Amino acid sequence: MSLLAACSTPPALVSMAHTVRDTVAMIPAALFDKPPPGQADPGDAPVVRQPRRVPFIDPAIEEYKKMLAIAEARAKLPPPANWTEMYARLPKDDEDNIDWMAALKDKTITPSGVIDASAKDPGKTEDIEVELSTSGKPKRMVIFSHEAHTQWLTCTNCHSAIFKKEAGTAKITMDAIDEGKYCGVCHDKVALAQPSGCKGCHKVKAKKS
Amino acid sequence: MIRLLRFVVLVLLPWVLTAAVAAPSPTVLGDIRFERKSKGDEEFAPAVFPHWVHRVRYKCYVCHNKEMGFAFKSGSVAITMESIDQGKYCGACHKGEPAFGISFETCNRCHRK
Repeated sequence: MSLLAACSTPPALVSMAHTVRDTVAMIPAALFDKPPPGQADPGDAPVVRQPRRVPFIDPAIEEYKKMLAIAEARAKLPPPANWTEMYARLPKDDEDNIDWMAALKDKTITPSGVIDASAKDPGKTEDIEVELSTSGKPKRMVIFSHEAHTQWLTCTNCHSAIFKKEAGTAKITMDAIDEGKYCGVCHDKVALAQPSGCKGCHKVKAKKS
Repeated sequence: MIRLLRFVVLVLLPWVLTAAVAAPSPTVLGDIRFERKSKGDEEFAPAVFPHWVHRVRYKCYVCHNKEMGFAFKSGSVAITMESIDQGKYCGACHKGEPAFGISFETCNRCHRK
């Protein structure tokens, strides 16, 4: 009788053993960040969280991406079959004249500086901007961009036959331009400042001083 | 009615189609019609220089330089067919490569109305 009593486990001991077993089962969850029992284990899947703040979108990068997409789409196009098709592809301004600077910028055209591709390009670029004060429209100063012009021309095209190299030596007037002097050598003959009209050149509002 | 249809199909339609396909290239700012100064066939159209076509491929200074001799003024150089044959002016490129050469097949590519 006493032997039977010794062999059977008392109920208190049984419940204690159950508690220990449950506690041991909890240990991996506590140690290894496992979900509580009853919930599915996500495994190694990455945890998706909402961004804490609105991501910054750079308009310059977005514009660049847009241009890149246009350029890539154009690269897939077959080369224009004839000049009429080429003309249709060139970007136009609001008066339906070719916007040559836009054509350069979006790489519709990549004009060469030499006839023979193996020869050295004699062109030189420059990025000095010249401020031309205007007497007639003091609020609309003209800023001459060397950078834009040297994408087409080289120094000797304008210096020193049309303009001397020293800034301020030429007295440029709209009448002189209309007579085909200074800017008028090219402008309104083969070249148009964009946007068309006065604002193509007279685009900078002078600061009040 | 059938006559009218036949007229439309046989005469008007081809005329419209050819007009659409062979549309002359548009007159663009910078196009130069050379004035004929040398004595020649007065019946024959003087040459037209489409500036924009050349701007697509080349920068200004490729032609507007001392070696080539083109000044920034239309009509400032006397271009003759002889000088082109000698490789001057237009002849620097228009000799087959890189641009089409001068021959009786290509007259009307420049000399057009």
